[in-house]
Amino acid sequence: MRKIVLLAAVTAALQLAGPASATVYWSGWITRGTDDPNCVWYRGQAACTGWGYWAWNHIDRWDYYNGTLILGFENGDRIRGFENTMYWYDMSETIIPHWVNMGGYLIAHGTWWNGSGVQATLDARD
Amino acid sequence: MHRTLAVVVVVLSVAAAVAGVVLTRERATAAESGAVKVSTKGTRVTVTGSARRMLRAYGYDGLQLLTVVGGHAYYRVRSDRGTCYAVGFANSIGVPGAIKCWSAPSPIMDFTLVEASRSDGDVHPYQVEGIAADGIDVLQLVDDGGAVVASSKVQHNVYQFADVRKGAARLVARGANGKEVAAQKLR
Repeated sequence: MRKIVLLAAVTAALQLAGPASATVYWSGWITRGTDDPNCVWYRGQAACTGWGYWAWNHIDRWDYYNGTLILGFENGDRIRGFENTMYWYDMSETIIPHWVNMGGYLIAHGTWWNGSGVQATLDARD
Repeated sequence: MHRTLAVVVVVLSVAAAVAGVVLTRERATAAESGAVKVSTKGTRVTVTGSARRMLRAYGYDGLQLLTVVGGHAYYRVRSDRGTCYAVGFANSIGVPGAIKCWSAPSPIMDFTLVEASRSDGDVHPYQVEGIAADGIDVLQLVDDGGAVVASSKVQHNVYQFADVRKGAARLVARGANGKEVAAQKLR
């Protein structure tokens, strides 16, 4: 009995320590014309998760593109994030809502801002 | 005896001054020539809470605290993803708020945050900070007309602007000699 309890405890601990469920919400070009109905602020140039309690937002660029994205979070009132720029092979970024003083029910987004389009994989986790 | 001691002190002072000048020149030259390096070593810190899950998810292998400035903690992130740094709140050491990786070290590794809101429509920077390579002495925020609107002295390879004005259009890095080493647009 003690072994079963111990096994259950170890399994639970491993589940807690393991990766959260990942949602790849975009894979490919983000540019002017990227139309994702999940976006509130800049639909037509952004990719978004839809509403959720997101723990973080992450981008991996596939290659060097002369374009700037904004990676972060949005709600009905505001959009915030940091610029994933064309400078110096700025390849991957991860950001949590608290860092931009946001929280609760949000949309994670990758928004094209200027320059060429960008090919990237974006994922958010709850 | 006193005379000998005085001579030794003078010689050591001159040597230190010369060494300081040479080091400053070398640091500036390194940044200007593209040999980009961040010398601040930092100390390893324990990653806590959900941050551990986030770091593991992307292969980040621990944090080294470089310094704390203005309520923010700056970290080097060990990773095979490239050159990675992070920033977080100083009251939560070991919990990064944002992590960025570059495929190669660069003179400015910037963590500028931008925002727009219903009451204040245009996207504009509201928090400018980041990591500056060796040899960069000061970062400046410059408006569209080229006027310097704010400056930040680099400390332990970190810059931070407490007051970000909406007019800031470019971030300019300068060496100890005042020469522009690198620059980038902010919006």
